[in-house]
Amino acid sequence: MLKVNISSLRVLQMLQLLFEKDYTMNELMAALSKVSNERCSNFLVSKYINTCRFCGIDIQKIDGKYTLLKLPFGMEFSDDVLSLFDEIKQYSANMRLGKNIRAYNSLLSKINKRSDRYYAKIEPPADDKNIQAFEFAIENGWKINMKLVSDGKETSILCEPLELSCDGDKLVIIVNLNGERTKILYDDVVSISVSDIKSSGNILSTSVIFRLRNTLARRYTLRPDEKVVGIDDDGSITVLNKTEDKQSLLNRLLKYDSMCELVSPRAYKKEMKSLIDNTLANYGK
Amino acid sequence: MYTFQTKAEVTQISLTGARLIVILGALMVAPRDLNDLNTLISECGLVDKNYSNDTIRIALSTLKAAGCVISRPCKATGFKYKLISHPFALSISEEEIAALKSLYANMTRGSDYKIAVKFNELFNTLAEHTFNRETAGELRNITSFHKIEPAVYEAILKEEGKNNILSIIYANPAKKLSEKKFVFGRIFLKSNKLYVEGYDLETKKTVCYNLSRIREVISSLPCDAEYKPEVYKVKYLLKNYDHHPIDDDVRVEKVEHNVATVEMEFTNKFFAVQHILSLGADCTVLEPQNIRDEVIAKLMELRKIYA
Repeated sequence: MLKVNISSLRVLQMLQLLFEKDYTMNELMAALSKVSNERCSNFLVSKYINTCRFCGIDIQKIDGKYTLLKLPFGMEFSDDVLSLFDEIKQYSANMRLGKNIRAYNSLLSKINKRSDRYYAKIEPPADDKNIQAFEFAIENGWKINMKLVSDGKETSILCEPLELSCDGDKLVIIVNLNGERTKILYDDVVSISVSDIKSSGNILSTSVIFRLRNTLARRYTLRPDEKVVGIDDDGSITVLNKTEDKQSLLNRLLKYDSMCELVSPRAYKKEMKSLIDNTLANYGK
Repeated sequence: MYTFQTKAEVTQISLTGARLIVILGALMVAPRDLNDLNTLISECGLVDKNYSNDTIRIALSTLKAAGCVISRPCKATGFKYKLISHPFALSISEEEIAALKSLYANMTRGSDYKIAVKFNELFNTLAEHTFNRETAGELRNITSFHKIEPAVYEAILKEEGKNNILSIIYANPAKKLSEKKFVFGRIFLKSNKLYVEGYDLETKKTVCYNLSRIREVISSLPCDAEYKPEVYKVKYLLKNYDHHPIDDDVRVEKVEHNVATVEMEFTNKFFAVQHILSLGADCTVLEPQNIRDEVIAKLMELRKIYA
């Protein structure tokens, strides 16, 4: 049996609790009592907080809750990474990626607790009713009604919301439209409203298979969620892709020219053929 | 490392608790032996006396009881205690990783590699501070830079802004090794891979090498001649202009009815043709004729495949 010092063990246990979340004194007493299996009084918890503060760990009472703000011996970042935090903040200022900004800010909160510096979070974007409706529908599993305008024509669609993303400096929304992962430019969206139809909940997966030949087969880097499903004697590889939206994937495969051939599904092959014909038509071919 | 308050400022503290925090902080920075830890505690001014080795050992046992994993002193650690993991480590959720991936993918769309290098450093730092191997692996795999030899990565990044002749050992896609010699031009990012571009003095051509295939940088010597890359200017019409992200190296001449006349500069013809093909039917090359012909030839070949 290891010989331990109970008082100092409690200090660390309390610190561990404060890493997870902020507590009022009563909550902290209850949580520490639960962890330690013994009653921890206000006097004892205050003593432990004072011990941490004595060592330079910044614990402040904010809105009635004890909040861990700084750790003097935690994470350190280089000047390059510090400047990256600023660049991310600047980049995100115009993006309305609600969910991603919340996740990034949550990560920064964790980093701040483990560092002796403060890294500023991204200001949440101004309320955008369409984005709010989109994210609400994802979280609660509803389909959405969306009005779009393109080339002056307005259309309405019913689809399953999947995610918000960016394409360069443009915000895009990804939806499941008739079973296909489809990317829609946010600038084309007139309105989004939550429908009263539940999403199917099925994970969208159109299995697309393509074959890569020659040097491309050797130098190709698999994208996330891609896997090699076959290797031929001549070194060609067969790749399975399940998550990329159709248009992006077709355009990407087109750039690999004859070193890449789309194998299935048939509908994608047909669209690739049209894409090639339409592009050649630009040159009168 | 520590900024102790004077005892007058605090009413009640646990000295053993403070001692444990000092030891934890010291082990987070580097492996230590009992003497190191004892010296650190007295240097901090926490107490005026030296503790016995047993007292320090009890502190280490208390850290273990709190969830820290500390290795026994052994030859490999220089007979020091090494903190393998601790319960205060950073835990990163799937949503947070997804947000980082999304930021990385969106902020590194252009060919400027510097921001990708900064992201790589951020991901490596985060990976070091999480003791979850899977999370650490996922973070390190967001960029593809882990495939580059660390010495090569460091050596090539240092070349930026210099005008040196580099000799490297390069493995082609068939993994055949050969020595290459070129005047350093620039580093750029393409499809999440780092490339170095330069000028081959023998063939008098612009060359481009994937950093993950460079096995070694043999030498880097100053060059008198200044490297000026061969630049391809490609002019094309771009339909649905507002649907395409526009990179910094693109000059938009005019836009009429959402059709833009665009001029783009490339130093690598292969990448120029790839870029044009990726724009699909929205793009029509106007000039130069050789790029236009090459694009048409590649599309005709593709038409045969899908016939």
